Amino acid sequence: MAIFGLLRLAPGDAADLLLPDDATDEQVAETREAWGLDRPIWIQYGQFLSNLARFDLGESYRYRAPVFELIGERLPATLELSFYALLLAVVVAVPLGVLAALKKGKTVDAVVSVVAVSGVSAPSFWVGILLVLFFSGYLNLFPSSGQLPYGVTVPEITGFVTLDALLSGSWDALYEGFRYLALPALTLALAMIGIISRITRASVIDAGQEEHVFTAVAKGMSRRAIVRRHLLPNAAIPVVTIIGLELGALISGSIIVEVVFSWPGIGTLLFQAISVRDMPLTTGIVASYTIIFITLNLLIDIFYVFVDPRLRGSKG
Amino acid sequence: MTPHTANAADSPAAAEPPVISARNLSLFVRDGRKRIRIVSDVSFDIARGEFFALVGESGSGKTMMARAIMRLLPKRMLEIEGELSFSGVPLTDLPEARMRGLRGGAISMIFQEPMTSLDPLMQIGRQIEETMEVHSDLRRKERQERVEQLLSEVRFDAPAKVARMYPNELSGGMRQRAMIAMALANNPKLLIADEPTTALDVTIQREVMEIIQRLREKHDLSVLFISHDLSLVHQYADRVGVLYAGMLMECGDERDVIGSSAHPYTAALLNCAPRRRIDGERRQGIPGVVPSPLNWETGCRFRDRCKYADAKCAAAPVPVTELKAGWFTRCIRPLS
Amino acid sequence: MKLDLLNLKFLLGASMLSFVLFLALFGSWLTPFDPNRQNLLASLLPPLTDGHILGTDHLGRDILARIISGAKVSLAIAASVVLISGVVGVLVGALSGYLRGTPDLITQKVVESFWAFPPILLAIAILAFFGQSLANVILALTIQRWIPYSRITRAQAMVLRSLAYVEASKVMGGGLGWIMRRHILPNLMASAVIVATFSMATAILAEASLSFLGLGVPPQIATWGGMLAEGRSYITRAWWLAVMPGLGIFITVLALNLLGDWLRDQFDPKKNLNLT
Repeated sequence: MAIFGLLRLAPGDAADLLLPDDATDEQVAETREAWGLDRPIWIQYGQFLSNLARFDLGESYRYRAPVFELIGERLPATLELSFYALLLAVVVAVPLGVLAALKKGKTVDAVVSVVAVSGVSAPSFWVGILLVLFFSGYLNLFPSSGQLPYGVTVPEITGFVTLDALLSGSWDALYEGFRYLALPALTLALAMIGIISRITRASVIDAGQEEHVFTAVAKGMSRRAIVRRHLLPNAAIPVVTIIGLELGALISGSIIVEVVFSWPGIGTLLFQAISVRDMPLTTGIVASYTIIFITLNLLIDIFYVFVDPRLRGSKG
Repeated sequence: MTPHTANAADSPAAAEPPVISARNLSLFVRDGRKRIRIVSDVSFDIARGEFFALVGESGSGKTMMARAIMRLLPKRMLEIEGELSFSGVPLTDLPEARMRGLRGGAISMIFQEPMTSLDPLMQIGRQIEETMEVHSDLRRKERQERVEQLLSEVRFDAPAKVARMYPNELSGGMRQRAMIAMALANNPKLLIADEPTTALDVTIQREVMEIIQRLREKHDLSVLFISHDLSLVHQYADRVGVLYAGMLMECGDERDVIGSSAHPYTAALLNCAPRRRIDGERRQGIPGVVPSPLNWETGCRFRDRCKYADAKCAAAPVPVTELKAGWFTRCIRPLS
Repeated sequence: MKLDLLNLKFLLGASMLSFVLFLALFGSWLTPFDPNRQNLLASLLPPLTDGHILGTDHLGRDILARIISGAKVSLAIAASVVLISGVVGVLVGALSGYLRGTPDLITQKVVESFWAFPPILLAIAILAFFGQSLANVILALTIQRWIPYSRITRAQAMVLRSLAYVEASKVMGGGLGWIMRRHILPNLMASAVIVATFSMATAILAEASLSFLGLGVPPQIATWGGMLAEGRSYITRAWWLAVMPGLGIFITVLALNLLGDWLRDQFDPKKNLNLT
């Protein structure tokens, strides 16, 4: 689909953005030459593309290491955090949304709607700080920054701390890993809970108005069985669509949450790269985020084909 | 008013109560605090094995009648007044749990829109099986066998294959046949068919009607057929009820009602049926529109559109007249 | 019940928003302090001490005064972003939906390629490469925000163009400009206002996020997000530094979201406008 076209467009834009960097320094002129920024744009673009194809994103000024490697080291932490946050959000928000839809117009519905609109309105960096204030400052329950305490390590198998801890049987590290995940994952999840629960509510209500639900009533099925077997499966499709659309928000949210909790992912790395104006690293990270975003959207498209028989090759 | 029963004495199943018996039945829909009467004072019977057609323009309340019999809408949305019973069992106050036992069991229903009345995410076979899961304790294997048997009864050549298909892989006519198979799964006594062929092509219409007709004969099934297609009604119905603005204007044997309509509305309806065009007559719609339930007045509700109407028609509620055994009309000057 | 909840949304949203607007417009008369005046002797004062209603920050600046001046900045940026993106988005959407054909194809491609970036990332990239300035912040926030407008108005314009009275106007020789002004744009206003309300909420959030990351307007200007970022380091000693500006963001965004909900329920009961 069009996504492949976009994949080709995206790095082009990033390369464009490299050009007008005119923080006038002698260094900049030097870098320009070193990075070929004085050459015509299409050559740069071609070079950028060919480099990208070889997974060569250049070298970071600051870390004196290949950008690709730096990103590779930090990426698992970002993915891990996002995964748990999304999981938490779905586990909380979907039942809330279903409940609100089934009790439409009742008190539960109103409460869920208040929770949802507050969740959407609260800036995640503020929520993060409030959670830190309460859970680590006041209750001293969860740590406020980092991924693992000093001295605790896990053998690197996949790069994902909790998975590695599980695989290697380091139970202490597993426990600590989750303790460190708790607040950032919760913060990131809260932002999504509002959106997902609202959409779930709307989808369940829509699905309830479909005519085949009438058929199910006419079959003599109980309300509960109808909800479980006909309503929810049909409501799931738009919910997944919206979760797909919200992946962008998840990514943006994760950058900020990583910074708040000093989470060692690519969001924090991006923040650092920008503050020292490390352009190759910044470009590389922006490109990586974009590629992740596009890949996730592709995965969602593939998911549909599995769930929705209408999208499989049909004769009707 | 006079209680008018069907020609019970002539019926072969005289000892048995009619499958459906409605007496002075009124329906109300609730919209917030408003309570609107949408069907008033309707009485009719459907005997065992009878094909009863309820005809009328859209907005006449015929679909609501079907939904009331199935109690498809919760009481807070659709209220029922008067008597309504199924094989002698009063339906109006039946607890919801027992009503559920009837729905899809002894009473089943097919709908107007075959394209949307099947769950798009579930295989046809599973959807038919589901009806049996609710009403019988057949095992999985037996249910699957029954599904194939039902699908071949509605003339699918490869029932096993169809059972594994999803609704989007079937055409509209095929879906409606699958709906019929589903409706027959638990050997119902009554099949309610709410405009089952309206959304289909004429050739497929015929096919679906033939299937209903054949199954009805085979299983001694009563059919409540809701339609505005008088040519279908003429072809298949034993008895006909003509509903207009929530009132039963005429009710009787198909021969009488369609053959020599007593009520001007029935006559007008017949006059604009497409079938008549073949006879060279010009098709003419009935001038005017069905009055909305919000502005029903005393007197005949058809009078504004009736070419025979005069002041008397507006004066008082029109009583039901029995023209002959089992043939009733709600007109002060019946045409025959 | 349903009606009550709806009215409640309006009442809450409208009163909170008026409160914020009032603070932003007239707030400078409420507090005698200069938002940028440092006083190291009076740093980190808790709320309600020495006339500092919300306390002072690490440089002894009055937090209320800074929140008020931050409100002006936030609201001004968000309003200009919403205005620019609204005008661009509605025009693009209305034209491409009305004209169809090649112009539509081109705008759809542009929309898709902008949409390929996760929202805030594009803004971050722009500010990182172009440098920080008020204009760049507005550009960075506008660059994707016109898309929801154009999507919705395009869909509506496509419906409108085939309506009888629009066709009639065309047949009678109405020019493109005339038809747009007369028939298309007025009909798009309701949805544009709804999108604008939600968009204002997200613009405020996004601006605050950028400032929080140090990518917003130059640091010498007080902004809610910037105050939060500074206050973060003092969170254990002086919670009010970070909590108060965050509360400002929360109240403003909540008010806008409530009003947006209310508007949508008024004009679009079917909730077709899910894009926020």
